[in-house]
Amino acid sequence: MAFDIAIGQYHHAESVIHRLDVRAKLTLLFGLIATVFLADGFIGLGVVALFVLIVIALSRVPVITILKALAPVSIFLLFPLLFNTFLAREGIEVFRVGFILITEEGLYKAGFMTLRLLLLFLTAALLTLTTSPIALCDGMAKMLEPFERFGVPAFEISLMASIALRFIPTLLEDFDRIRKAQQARGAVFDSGGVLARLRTLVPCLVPLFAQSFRKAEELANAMESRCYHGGSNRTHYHEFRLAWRDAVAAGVCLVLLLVMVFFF
Amino acid sequence: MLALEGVSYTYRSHEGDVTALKPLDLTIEDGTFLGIIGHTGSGKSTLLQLMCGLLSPSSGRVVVDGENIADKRVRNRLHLKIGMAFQYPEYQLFAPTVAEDIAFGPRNAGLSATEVDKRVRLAMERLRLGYERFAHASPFELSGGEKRRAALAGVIATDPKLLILDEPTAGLDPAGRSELLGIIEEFNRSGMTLVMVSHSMDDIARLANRVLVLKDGAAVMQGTPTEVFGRGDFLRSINLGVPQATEFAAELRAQGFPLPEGLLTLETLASAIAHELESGSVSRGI
Ligand SMILES: Nc1ncnc2c1ncn2[C@@H]1O[C@H](COP(=O)(O)OP(=O)(O)OP(=O)(O)O)[C@@H](O)[C@H]1O
Ligand SMILES: [Mg+2]
Repeated sequence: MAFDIAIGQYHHAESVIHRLDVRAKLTLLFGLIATVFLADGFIGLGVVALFVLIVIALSRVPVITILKALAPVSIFLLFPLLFNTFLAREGIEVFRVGFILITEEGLYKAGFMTLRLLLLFLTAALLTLTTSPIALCDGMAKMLEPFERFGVPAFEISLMASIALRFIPTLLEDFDRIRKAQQARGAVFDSGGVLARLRTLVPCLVPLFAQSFRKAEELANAMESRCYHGGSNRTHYHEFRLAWRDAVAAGVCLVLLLVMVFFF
Repeated sequence: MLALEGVSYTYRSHEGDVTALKPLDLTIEDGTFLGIIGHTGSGKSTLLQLMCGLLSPSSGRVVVDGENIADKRVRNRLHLKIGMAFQYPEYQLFAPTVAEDIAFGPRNAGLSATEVDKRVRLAMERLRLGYERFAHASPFELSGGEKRRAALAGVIATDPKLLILDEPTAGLDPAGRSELLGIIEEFNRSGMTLVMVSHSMDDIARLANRVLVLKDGAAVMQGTPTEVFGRGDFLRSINLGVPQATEFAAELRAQGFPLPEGLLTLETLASAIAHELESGSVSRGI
């Protein structure tokens, strides 16, 4: 396909991390983020890094895949690195040429900030690498469920999100086909200014919307003809059941948090 | 004339590579009606997209009137020579009115307003869409068959020499199907070269004068309809079949009713049976 994208870059593998309950994984993610922010020195960050490395090893996701997942955000790592290195004015001087001044403090800060950000990106990437988008969606909805009492339509949010996810590849396929059909009639998409380009999209977007509405209607009919209705009494095809490993994960996370609070 | 020289195509994706078309040599002379048949996933749509430059071959080259279409300048003018209608072409309709939608191609070709209007009227006439009735209607209000014809009018409005159709009759009722096939037959008779993919052996037998058979991305047979449909057993072995008339003739022959080979359409079958009955050789007991 012309638009070959990896949504959430989910990497399928058989591992403890993959099998963890989504809610446990989300808890772990937030716990790790908290520890990353709690750590106020390299030793603290080192402990978190060690933990993240263990999770990576357990997850059986190849290192190359993880690096690929990080590539698009690596530019954001560059900013704190460069800013802190070159803009720090206090501290012991290490190097000076003309107006360029590099201080020990600057280097320390640059290293610390970059490592911190890297760890945050890594944990977030680990979550999406080991959890399919659908599972992620369901898990989040499940965590929203207690708020249903306050009028949060958790179930509907989850349904909408999973339908949207399901239809992304279909939409891309439709778009590709329509674009080719218009191209065969002489439409040119890759020239002219922004406005001209937007105008050439009209012949593609109108049919795409028309098709999407038709598909939405078909889906609604299909669901209705199978007596679908939402609401709190529905059970899930994938039941969420917490297992001992989820408790272990949460426990480890808690220990890590406490260690961070008291020691670093 | 369109020629494919060792053209192959491989789709590349995350899940791995799929070779949809193995190296293929094919020449389509002007005026030909080429029918392409093959099981689902045999690479028919891929082949069509290679022919009109929507996909670039992984190997080999596509030559139209002596020019390689890998050349961007050649490809940019290709839509004037080659019209292509995908499966369910009505899903490409976008303009507020039928006439405007049909005008899309000619306008992209940079023709003058009067010339565009002339082309639109001609295309609608060729697709048997009354101008008064349909020109200012919204394409979304038409019936399925009318939408299909409006979309095809949009494809032939640039007056291409070669028209490529991917299952043009899919999803139409028998009347709509027969009407559309009649229209397509007229195109060919007026000198247009045609390439048509169809799952209906009857349609191919009725219209085509060359047939290409694809199996798993490879061309396993090429020839006249009589040659190709004469090998029913082979076709059935690759999930295809023969036209109903051919099948029926074979059944009759098996029952001892003498009929010649190579009967492809209902008309030729009927007259062969009538001839046989008149000549009296099978009058016993019938
Ligand atoms: N965009 C794509 N990405 C990856 N693989 C593809 C893509 N399009 C087609 N294929 C694969 O290429 C092969 C040939 O597909 P193609 O659409 O050409 O078959 P077809 O003969 O037109 O089938 P059908 O009769 O169902 O229309 C199939 O195995 C298909 O799965
Ligand atoms: Mg196809």
